[in-house]
Amino acid sequence: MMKSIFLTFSLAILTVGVAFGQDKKADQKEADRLIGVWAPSNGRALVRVQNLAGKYYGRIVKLKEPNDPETGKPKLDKNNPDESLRSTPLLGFRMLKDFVYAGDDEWTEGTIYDPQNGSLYSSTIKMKKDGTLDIRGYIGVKALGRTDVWTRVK
Amino acid sequence: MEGPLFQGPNTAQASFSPTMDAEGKLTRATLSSAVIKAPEGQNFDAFSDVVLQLVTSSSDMIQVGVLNPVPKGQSSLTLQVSNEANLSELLSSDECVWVIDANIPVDMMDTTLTFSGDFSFDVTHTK
Repeated sequence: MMKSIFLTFSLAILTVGVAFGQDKKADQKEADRLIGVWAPSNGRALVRVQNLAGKYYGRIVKLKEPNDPETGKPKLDKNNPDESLRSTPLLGFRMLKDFVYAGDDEWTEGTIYDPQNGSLYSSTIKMKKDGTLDIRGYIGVKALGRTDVWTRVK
Repeated sequence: MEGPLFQGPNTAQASFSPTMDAEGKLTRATLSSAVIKAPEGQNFDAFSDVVLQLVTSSSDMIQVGVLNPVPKGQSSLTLQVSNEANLSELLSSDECVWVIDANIPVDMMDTTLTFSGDFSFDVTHTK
């Protein structure tokens, strides 16, 4: 009798373990839907989202106007509050950082950087039913922010 | 950096375990120097620029260095480092990841680039 109970218990643990493993894979697949190349609504850039060390990052991979009209040279992160990093090129710049998948088509805990003014905002990303992204940037309170719609290119 | 490498932004990463031997809590840490070295007989002509970042699974990514443009014919690159970025939280972790971003001007289909680095930190502990 005791043996039977133990066996049943072991099988139950195994079943839960397999189910948990499948859930994890499904979650990862869901989370990875963010990976790809996206176009912000202003049409000035393309951003490639990748998974790195378990979090999601977006790099500028194309600029509509790659050169600074003032210098004629490739655009730099000239508004970075840290002066020592102002020679960082905007091409390749990680403007989306540290997003984690929270479930329910939403990625949270990230930041979005606006190279136009050197400002860093807390950010969340929501994938809508039509496959576009609502990227919300805010300071402090999420309700007080701005949302931009990004469209998948690739 | 494993090939094929395509024109534009590319990434390499390497993890390390910080070993802070001093007693007490790490309250401030900044990168004081970062030098990236190519294997003997090679150089960094494939890169137009290099950006260095640190991240852990529990901390946000922080940019700590940059070199733009990369000078031609150099087998070792000394990066401009950030004096402001406080890395104490990252260096208190069991494992950190160096992330090196580099723009490559042309496709390099059969190339894998390897390099090493020497990094120095200024750290402050409190008892």
